[in-house]
Amino acid sequence: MRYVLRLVLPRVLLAIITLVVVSATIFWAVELLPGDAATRLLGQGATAERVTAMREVLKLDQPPLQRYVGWLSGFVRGDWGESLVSALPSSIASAGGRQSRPVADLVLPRLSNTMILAAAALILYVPLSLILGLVTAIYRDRKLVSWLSALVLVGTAIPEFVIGIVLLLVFSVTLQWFPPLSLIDDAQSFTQLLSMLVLPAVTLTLAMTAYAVRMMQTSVMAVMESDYVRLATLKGLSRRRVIWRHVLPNAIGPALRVTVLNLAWLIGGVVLVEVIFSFPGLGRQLIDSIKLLDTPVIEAIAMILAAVYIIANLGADLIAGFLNPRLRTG
Amino acid sequence: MTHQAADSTTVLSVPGRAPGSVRRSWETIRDLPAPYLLATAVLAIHLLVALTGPLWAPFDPVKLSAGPPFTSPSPDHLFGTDNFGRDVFSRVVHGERVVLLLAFSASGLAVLVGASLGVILAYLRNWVDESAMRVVDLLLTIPPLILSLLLLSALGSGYVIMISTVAFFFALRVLTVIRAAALNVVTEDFVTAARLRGESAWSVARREVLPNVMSTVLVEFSLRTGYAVLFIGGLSFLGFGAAPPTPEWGLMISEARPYVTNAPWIVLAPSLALASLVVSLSLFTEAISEALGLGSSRVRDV
Amino acid sequence: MTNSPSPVVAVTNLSVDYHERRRWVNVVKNVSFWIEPGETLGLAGESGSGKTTTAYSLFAYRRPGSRIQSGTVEFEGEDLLALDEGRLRRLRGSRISMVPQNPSSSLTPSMRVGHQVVEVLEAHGVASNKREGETRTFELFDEVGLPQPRAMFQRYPHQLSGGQQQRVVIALALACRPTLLVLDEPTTALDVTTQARILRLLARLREEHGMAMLYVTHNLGVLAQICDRVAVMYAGELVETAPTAELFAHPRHPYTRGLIAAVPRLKEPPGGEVQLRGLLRRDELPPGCRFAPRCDFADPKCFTLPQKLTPAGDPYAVACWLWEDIASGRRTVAESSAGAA
Repeated sequence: MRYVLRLVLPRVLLAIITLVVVSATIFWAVELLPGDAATRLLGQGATAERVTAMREVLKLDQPPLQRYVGWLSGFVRGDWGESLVSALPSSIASAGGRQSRPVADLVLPRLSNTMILAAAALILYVPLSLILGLVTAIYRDRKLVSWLSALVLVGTAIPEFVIGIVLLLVFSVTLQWFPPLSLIDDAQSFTQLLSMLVLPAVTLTLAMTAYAVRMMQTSVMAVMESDYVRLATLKGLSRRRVIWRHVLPNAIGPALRVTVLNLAWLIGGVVLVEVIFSFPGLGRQLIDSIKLLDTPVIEAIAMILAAVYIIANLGADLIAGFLNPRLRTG
Repeated sequence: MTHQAADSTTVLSVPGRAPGSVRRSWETIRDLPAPYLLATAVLAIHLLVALTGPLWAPFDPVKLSAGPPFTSPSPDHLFGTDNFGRDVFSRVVHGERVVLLLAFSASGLAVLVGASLGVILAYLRNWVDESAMRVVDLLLTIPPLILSLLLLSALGSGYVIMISTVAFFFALRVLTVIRAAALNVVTEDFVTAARLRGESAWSVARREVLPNVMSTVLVEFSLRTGYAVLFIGGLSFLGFGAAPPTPEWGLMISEARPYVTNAPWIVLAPSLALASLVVSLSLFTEAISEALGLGSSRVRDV
Repeated sequence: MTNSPSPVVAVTNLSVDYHERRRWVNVVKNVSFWIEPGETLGLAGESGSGKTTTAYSLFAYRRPGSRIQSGTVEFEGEDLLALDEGRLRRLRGSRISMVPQNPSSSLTPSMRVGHQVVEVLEAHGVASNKREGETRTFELFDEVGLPQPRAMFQRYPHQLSGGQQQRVVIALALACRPTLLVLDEPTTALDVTTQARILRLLARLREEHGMAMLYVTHNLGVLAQICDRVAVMYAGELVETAPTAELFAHPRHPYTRGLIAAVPRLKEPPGGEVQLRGLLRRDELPPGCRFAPRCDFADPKCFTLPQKLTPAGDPYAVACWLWEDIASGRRTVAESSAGAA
């Protein structure tokens, strides 16, 4: 148990520190965004007094550090502030002023959409990459397999937004099997929802799979050429046994780690894919809110994405640590 | 704690070849499998286009109405025209130079800074190195895309800012890789022997460490250039990179999206150009990595 | 070359090539030897001599990227090189076993060492269930001198010392009581003290079980200790075979002479050491005798005339047409230096 703590604790601590540092960086970067939020909200024709009053409401007159701490503590507690741009319909807004929508209301639905997309991609990607990786590595002397490997190699180099566009062109525009815009919030039925998910999920899957297969291949090949697999073969064990008991357990570690790292990569990839397919997810919302300079929303989304990224990296690190028998047993 | 926390670059590096094995390197290159040679040829074509393109491209890339809008590919307009009537072929050709210039600048800067720091840290191997690596590990866990988007929208998307931002993230990773490679060399006996002979730190670095690290540096440069093309292309696609009417391919793809149904060639041309550049660059990186005797297993980052 | 009526294994004209960078490179050329029941044959040579590849060929094991160009490996009446996978699998680990060079990398990291032994017992039907396998494994661990066999059973390879790991590997090799044991420099990766202990263990086991052994090494001291006969390889070819004592007392082939002479002796005055000239250059091998470029006795004809292992008085054999002249002193170093490369 001691060893587990020694493995886990420092890494978790580092992750927390990183989160704090990243939050500060995000806040600082957002601070640099051009324009004054108060003026933006009230419009150009607002009087100076109203601007000053609004600045007080928005707490813009406080020193940055204080604002940062205020924001961070609020964020952790679940209070993500209110959007500067999105307003509730006037029928609900209180008289005499705009009622802004809480950021959480805007962000959470998008978050769940993105999570659905990510989940779909992962469900496809995990078995596909595992099987492909294993097969291409174990049977690499067959001609068909070496062509497959070459295809995979090429696949790793194609940028995901190119994959997305090509898929869009082929399956949506030409074949018209799937809708070009994945507006899943407006989906009328479950089937329609699914059909909207297909192209963006497949794009993500292809991008992740190519990369993971490469890693699996390398890992499995390294294991297959190891001294211990050689000895296992020379012990007269059946090929199946050698693969299942000697190759797989030692090759799968990197595969798991790659999967988790892919999760981290998803953060970047999902932004591009959402834009291409007009998917109503977190990534697209981030881009939109940056363009609209809606600072609280930017801060919230950036923090969420960064947190996922950091936690995913932490996970990968921990998995690598746990799979190393030296660390497990001391 | 490993210094490869977020995204290790597992380079199976071996101290590079001694000078004078150029002949052996050439033989290695000649004996490489066909796909690598093909990739190198394609890459060479890209470089050629970047260097000479603007000289022979048929039209001015920003000239509106070089032809009627939405013309499909024809002998006059090899890749057709876009919504403004601009010749897509000329735009792609001009864009080659833009894309490669930006990518080379970013990766060049990253490698320069990252490699220098990496070698210095490897040489120091004291508390400065330790603390610096903690900071680097921390910085490595920051998602690059998110932060770049924020910085670029805050600081403006001038080329210098964009290249610097990209270079910053890459430099961190290059630093990690080069430092690891340099550590391999610096702890070797012949370096200690050189020091004991009384040679100065600088001379040791220059004569013993640098040549052995050079092969890793070259491979890193090639690798980062490929990632830079993708990263910058992605940024431009999202609207945070090059500005219209620059014929940067990512930007062109984004601009062409609304017309993908009725004029797909506007999207296809830059997409294929981009894909071919990145693929050939990636294979080329593998090729030189093997030719120089380094391993070829890498974990992607960014 | 004479064979006794029934050697344990007889290798005839074995040639192996490696695929390196689009070309096939020959690493073992026309190697022939045999091993008698209960005999320990040493296979000696520098690195690059092809001795390891030869050893692995006894299992009909083809390293990825290698091909066995020709030859036969006769074992218990069958040519191993012509057997199918199924039959080979039954022989490997049960009739012929390997003790590899690096024990720490030869044990599967994810499996407990005890299970790795039970595995081979079950695969070859020596143990019919887990319990039997475990009991047998404890006995084996005891036999190879591992303390606390029960505790050792549960350990993972990385929890054992180098010496312990090697004992586990030896236990693995002996589990099914093989007729032939192939050892690839089993002590090179260990420190000197452990080395001595392992050698003693091997000698004792040989006493008790009487299996034939092929002991691959470059260490002359080990050869002298444990081998009955020695076969010397150079650049993929067998250059000399002789009983151990005779080899050390009267080496016949110039290469062997160089090897033996290069061993520093306590009584020799300093400055009187003999060194083997030059280095093995794989890409510059002459069509004739491969040792000629480094040979002090070489005649111009040596470079073009391929040497074959010929009997030089039973049971010795040498692959040098000048060996008698050299041995009798009719040919000396000075005489041939003019013709040397």
